[in-house]
Amino acid sequence: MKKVLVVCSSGLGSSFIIEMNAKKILKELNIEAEVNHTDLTSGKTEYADLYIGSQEIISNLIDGKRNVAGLKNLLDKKELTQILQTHLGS
Amino acid sequence: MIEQYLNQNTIQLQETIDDWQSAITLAAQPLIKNHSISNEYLQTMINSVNELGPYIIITPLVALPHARPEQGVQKMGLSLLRLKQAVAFSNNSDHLVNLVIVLAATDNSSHIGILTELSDLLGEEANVQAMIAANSSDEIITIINTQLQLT
Repeated sequence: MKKVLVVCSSGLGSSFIIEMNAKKILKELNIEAEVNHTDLTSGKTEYADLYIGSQEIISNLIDGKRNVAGLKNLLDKKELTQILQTHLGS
Repeated sequence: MIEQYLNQNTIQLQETIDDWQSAITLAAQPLIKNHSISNEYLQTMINSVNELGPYIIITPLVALPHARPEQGVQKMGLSLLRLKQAVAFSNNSDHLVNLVIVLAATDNSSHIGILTELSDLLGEEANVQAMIAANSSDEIITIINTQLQLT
């Protein structure tokens, strides 16, 4: 199963909200994936198929290898749906 | 859930403020007064924006400053500062903020209910606009309660 990691600086604010929303959306889209959230430091050492977070935070994870998607509006479910569909949809 | 934390004592209304540091500092005062957080927690919230940028802006016009439980949280808490005139968190117009909501979480998971409700409340742009336009903390509490009844 594909792994999605939602990252924010502390690992308990925005990443938690996005994780909850992502789980809801994936269910609606019928896409199976594991979603977790963590802080930026742990995010750097944990493998995932897709990393999601606010643009400011997620830019710290860009290394040319990781699949990274930054959100402009963290509460915008449309933006999140589009990212999940693009990266995980068949 | 959030209605237990956002009340007359923790909601503040102000017209303008000098800068984002002052906004976070003022927004955090009710939580310092009611012993939810320490001064160290306040400083950590400001430092992390200095280090990582205005990532705490979770949706346009709304910032959710917070730090980690071990950085000075004594008990769970929420406070809200409403500014009529937006304060800039950077030179970018995407980083203007009218609502500053300070979150104090005691561990990694027990605030999940608070976050779910905040996400429902602030995910609706109409609620954000209504809270900015509000003229009393009672009006803000009514907006929150109305949203909570919907979900």
